[in-house]
Amino acid sequence: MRGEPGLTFEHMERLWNPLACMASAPDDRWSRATSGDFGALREIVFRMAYGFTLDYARAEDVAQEALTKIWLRSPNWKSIENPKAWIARVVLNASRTEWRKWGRAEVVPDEGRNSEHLDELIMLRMGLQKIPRRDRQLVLILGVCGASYAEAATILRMNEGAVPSAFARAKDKLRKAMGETS
Amino acid sequence: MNLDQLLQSARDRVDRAPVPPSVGHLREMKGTKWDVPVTVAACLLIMGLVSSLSGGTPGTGISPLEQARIAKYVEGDSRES
Repeated sequence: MRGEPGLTFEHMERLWNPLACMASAPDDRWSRATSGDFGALREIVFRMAYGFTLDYARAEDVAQEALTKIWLRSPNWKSIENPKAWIARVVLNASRTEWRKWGRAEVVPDEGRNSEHLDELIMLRMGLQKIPRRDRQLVLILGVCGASYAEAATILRMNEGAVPSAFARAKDKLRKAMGETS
Repeated sequence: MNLDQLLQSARDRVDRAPVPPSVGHLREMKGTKWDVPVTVAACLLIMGLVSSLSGGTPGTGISPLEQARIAKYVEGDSRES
């Protein structure tokens, strides 16, 4: 199947099915995604991409890139220990290039014309750009995407016990950075 | 707005945003690599057909009028020799 032209939504759904036996996540969306619901997977990947980039338009490209990588890896699903963390890492890695553009890129409102609090979003991005990458990742994973400490620890390959204090330190740095920018 | 409120606001925005319909549709991305060779082949085929239908030499781009002129010169050369 790999490299086949004209890959369709149905192909993706079929390829996604091997994951069904692998993980059971408490969250309903994750459960659906891991039991072969490709619609749920694309929603998860897009929302993660949006949370990591804080840019609706760029999130679309990042999600597309991440879904391609996920599809390419799909024949070897059984070798992935924690699919949920792996998917999050794929999206996180795809988002990294976008962080460099934060300073110069304009924030585009959502498709639903959600232009409320755009100034705050820009301020948050400017602050995040000034803190170290590890801290930025923690804030985005925990603060914006709403992951648990255990999930963040798995995604960032950290000791779970160290996550709360690291997150608190990251937020302190962000507050300071935003104080400098505002 | 403090940082926690700001993060919550960003989180709400992410949760509420509609997922663009194009996300997850890979047909266009995977199909593009075939588009160029198919288009080039189709263009060559059409050029060849048009050329042969108009009486010229297929693929050379020489019109029937040019061919007749060349034939006249060639004929003249052979008579001289």
